[in-house]
Amino acid sequence: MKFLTFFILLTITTTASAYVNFIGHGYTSCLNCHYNPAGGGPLNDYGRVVGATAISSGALYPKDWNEEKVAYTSGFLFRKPKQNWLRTQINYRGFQLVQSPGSEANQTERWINMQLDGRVILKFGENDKFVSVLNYGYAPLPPGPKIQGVKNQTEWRSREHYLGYRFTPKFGVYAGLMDKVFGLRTIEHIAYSRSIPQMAQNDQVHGLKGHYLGEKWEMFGQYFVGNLAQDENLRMKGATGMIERTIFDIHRIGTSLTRSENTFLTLMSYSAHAKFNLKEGSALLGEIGQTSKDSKNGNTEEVSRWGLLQTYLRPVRGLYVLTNIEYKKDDVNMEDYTVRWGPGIQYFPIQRFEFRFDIYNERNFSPDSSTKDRWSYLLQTHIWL
Amino acid sequence: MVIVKIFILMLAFQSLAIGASDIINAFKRKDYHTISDTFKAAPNDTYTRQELVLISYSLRQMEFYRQDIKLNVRLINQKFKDRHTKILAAIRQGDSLDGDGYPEPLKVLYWNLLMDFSHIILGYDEKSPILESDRKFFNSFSKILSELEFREGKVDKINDQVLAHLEYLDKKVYQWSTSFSLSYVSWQSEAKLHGQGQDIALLVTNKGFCAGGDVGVENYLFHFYVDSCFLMGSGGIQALPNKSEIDYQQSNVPAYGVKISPGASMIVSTTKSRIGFRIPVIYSKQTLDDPPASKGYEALNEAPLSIITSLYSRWQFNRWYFQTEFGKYISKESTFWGLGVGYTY
Repeated sequence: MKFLTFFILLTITTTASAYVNFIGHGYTSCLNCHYNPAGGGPLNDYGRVVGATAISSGALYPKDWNEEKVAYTSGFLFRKPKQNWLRTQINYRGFQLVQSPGSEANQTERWINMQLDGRVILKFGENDKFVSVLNYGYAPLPPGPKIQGVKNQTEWRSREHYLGYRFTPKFGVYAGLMDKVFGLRTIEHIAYSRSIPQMAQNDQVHGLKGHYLGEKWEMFGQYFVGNLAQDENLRMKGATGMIERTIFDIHRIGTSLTRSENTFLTLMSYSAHAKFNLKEGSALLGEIGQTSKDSKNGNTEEVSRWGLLQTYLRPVRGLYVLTNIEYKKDDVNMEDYTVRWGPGIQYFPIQRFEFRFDIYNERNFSPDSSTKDRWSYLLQTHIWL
Repeated sequence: MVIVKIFILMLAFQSLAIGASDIINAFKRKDYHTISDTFKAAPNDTYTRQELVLISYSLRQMEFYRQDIKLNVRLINQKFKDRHTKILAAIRQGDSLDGDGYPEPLKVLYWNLLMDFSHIILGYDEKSPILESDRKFFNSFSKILSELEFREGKVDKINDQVLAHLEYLDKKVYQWSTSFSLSYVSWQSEAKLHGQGQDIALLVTNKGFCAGGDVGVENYLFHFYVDSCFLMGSGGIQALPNKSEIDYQQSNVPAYGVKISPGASMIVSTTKSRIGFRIPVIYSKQTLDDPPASKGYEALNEAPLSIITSLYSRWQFNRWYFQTEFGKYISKESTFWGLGVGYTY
């Protein structure tokens, strides 16, 4: 075990999260920077270099360092890996969450260690034709009592493990535990567009995923049997698909459809999204969608609708100013809806470090009431060693 | 008489020799100041070719580019007038030139002139008629050197620098800008039930539209403007929980007003996306119904005039743009949101 730990540490390389808004740097497809073509999880070598150069600020490097030198140091111990078949990465994300700031009666503060992952990637063949990804780590359990039916509820578990093979550069197949492909994969797992259709950070499923990447079109199809860590009657089994098309050479529009069910619930969601490249790192992201939850026991159906608009501006390299605007209507037959609105700052002072500050201002709109807004802010730290 | 003439000539040679010696010695000491002063004091004196080269170099070191231009032009006229005339004629007629057929010193003189004009142009911090004149000369010497195929890579690099600087001078000029916009907005305001003895706070949550536009000036980096729009919307009103002893609630109460926002933005991309701050002043009016007379309260709209500090962003798609605004009322918990589209004239 000690040898394994030592071995992993020796071969650790950089990892960062590439975000959807990096379309503002011209990256329309996640496959440019990730092993997983749908994004998320470990970065490939090119993604690490992009993270070190185009994304992170260059202000803290010595003046005589050029981009090539910075790119060269994007690997572990500031060196290029000496072999091509193994990559290891460590990733940490934690944040300070403050709710109802300034309120003597209601203010709460807590530090949450959101993620601590160790990642091992085996890759072989030309252009990493074959990949094997294991992502094991810490994620906090939801507050409150343990979830019924979920086996081995522990904070340490596999977040994803899968094998992938690209038959051609355009077509690949992936099998294992992965995130479901659906809509805009924003980093905010509390976003309504992720939580309502159950596409949040702990909603991975075992399944088979096909991916096609053409000149203009990118398509995903995924069949899944639920998370095998859950009791069988709770596993959400189904399929999901997403199609994106590049428009005007630099923008993307897309649509997603997913259906899944277990013994108690049938869930169906569909959405349309758009990603606009406003050049030099600035981007505009939008998504609208609808989810119907059909309870088999009570024969009740609830249809929810949501919208997401994320705007990014990059005043200087490494710094992104964003606005997060979300819309949620829990029941389309009711007039009530909620809007969550907030500015934020995302800063990459140097490769391997990301700091983020988000304000959330949530307002309910109802013909029957007028309530005070809910406020919270979040200070996030993301480190990849 | 002949002896006198020879004597005078010898004296003249001696004085020239002393001057020449001064220039060379000063150059060895890198005393460009003395050299340029010597030349400026006696520009028409006779200098050797080596001295003139040293003087030209010194003038450039001292950033006396216009004096160096005069010197180089004088040298071209003195030494290479016919060839220079022939080059100009060939370029005017569109004939090609064989660079090998022209002497290296002439090409170096053209190079010096190109460098002088490039330095002069790069020194301008705003556009002017003199700049246009210098630009024409720069273009001429750039064309000559390209035709002569002399230091082509370096000439291209200097051309790029000058073009970039001229573009920068164009872009930094502030121009008037106007636009029309329509935004979906939500804002909160405070009201109260005024009664004998105590007041009960009411919260008003409005949503609606704000139609208007902005007028201002902008260059490639900054935008300063005043935005104003008419607010039209409606809102729900309710007594704040735990603070009311009566049940007061109203829906869809019409609201009207004006929002005037001086603002400044920084333009952060070539597509003219921008981010900045505004200080909106909102005047909004809503008529609240009084509770039943038996309750003894009167509904009052409080502080219809409010000041906000807001963060403003705009994404430009050619003339159309998309904008967001998030603001917080000064000294209040309430916020203002805006999300809209606009068109730039």
